[in-house]
Amino acid sequence: MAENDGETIVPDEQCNLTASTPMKSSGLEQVESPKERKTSMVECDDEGNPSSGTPDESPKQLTPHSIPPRRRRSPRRPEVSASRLPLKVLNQIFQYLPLKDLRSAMLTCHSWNNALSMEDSDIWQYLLGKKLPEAAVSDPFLLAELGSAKKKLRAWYFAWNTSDISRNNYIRTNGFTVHRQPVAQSTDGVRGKRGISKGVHAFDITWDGPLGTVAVVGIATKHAALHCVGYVALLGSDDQSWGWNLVDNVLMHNGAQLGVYPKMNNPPKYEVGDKIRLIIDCDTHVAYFERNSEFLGIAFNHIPPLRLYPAVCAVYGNTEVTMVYVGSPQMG
Amino acid sequence: MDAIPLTKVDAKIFEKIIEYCEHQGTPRPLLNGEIGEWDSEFLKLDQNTLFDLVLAANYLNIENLFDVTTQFIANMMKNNTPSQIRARFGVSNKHSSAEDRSDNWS
Repeated sequence: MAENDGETIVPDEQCNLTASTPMKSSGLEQVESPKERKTSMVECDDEGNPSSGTPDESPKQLTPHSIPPRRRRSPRRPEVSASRLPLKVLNQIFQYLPLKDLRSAMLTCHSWNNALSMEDSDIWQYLLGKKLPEAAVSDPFLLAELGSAKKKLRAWYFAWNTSDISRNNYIRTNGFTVHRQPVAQSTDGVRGKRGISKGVHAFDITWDGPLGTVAVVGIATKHAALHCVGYVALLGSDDQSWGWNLVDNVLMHNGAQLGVYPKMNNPPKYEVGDKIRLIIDCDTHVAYFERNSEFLGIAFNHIPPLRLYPAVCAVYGNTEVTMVYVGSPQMG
Repeated sequence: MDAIPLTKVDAKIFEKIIEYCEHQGTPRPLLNGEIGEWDSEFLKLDQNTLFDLVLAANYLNIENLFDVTTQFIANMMKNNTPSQIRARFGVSNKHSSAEDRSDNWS
């Protein structure tokens, strides 16, 4: 009950803000409310009952002003009724909506935006339980850095794409980890579900298994190939992809080696299990990496304004790569 | 017999609730967001009555009516732009700053 009490404050605040804006109408409302009360008192008398105290519970469920003003003032009733629905009702309505419509609801009015901006509200918890695989929800480490249900749900929408993947790769049941099967003389890649074309986005990528001779993390357009014969640094081999081969620390794009990365003498080798953060800044057309939160320098610049997907390609049998979207690095 | 005063629910809405409860013999769950034929006809109401009904169902803890009414309202919102939702529900556009957010995922 305490939690519900806390939640009901929000629409009250919105009601107060709305009512206080037009001074005249708030005065009129004050004039009308005594009449409303008198009417209800008369009704009680007509039924032959002495007036009794209202239950303590009732004020907590509905605010006194949520009903009377709407009945009296027809010009304003349609305008305020939807935006003044209490949070419990809004959450129930929003639970039936797909994500696209939730976005429209967020942009409809201030109180709905407030309801949906609570990142651990019932609606996001419900969708998290509905959309994410149980193996992801119950993994204590996989999404640990994401601080809210909404962020975890968002990461799911950006995770590896089960439909955009080499046939020798498969996505594990947690939905966030790609597994390469032991197939000889084959290079196998995967793309994320959602591409990005504006803003700044960060993806946490962890190579969970051995690297083999080729282990490339990077960016691909929709048209970059995800499979080829042989053991090849496929990501970065054409103009549709950019890759960083963790085995030899070489950057690749359009078939050309752009040098070692980080750009220093003897850059340290990647250690299996280290977290690499890929940051794509679409607004300045650059991409760079951080390793264990350390900035490694700009990797790629002059990236064309295309829709870009996080991608990896692997050659080692039974190796695994996990990718978790964390949003804008400043917010993450 | 003592009558119980319902200060939060007016007579018109309460009549609708009685009608619903009398018809609702066996509660059945909503399937894939589809609302039964009787319920759809029952909920063809003007907006204020519809919202009063969902508030009353919430207040009186009539779970089936609450579920079907909120589902009905959700169905009214599906595939609509924010402007269409505002027009349909009579919501004012006083806080247009919310519309400036181009991508809520970032």
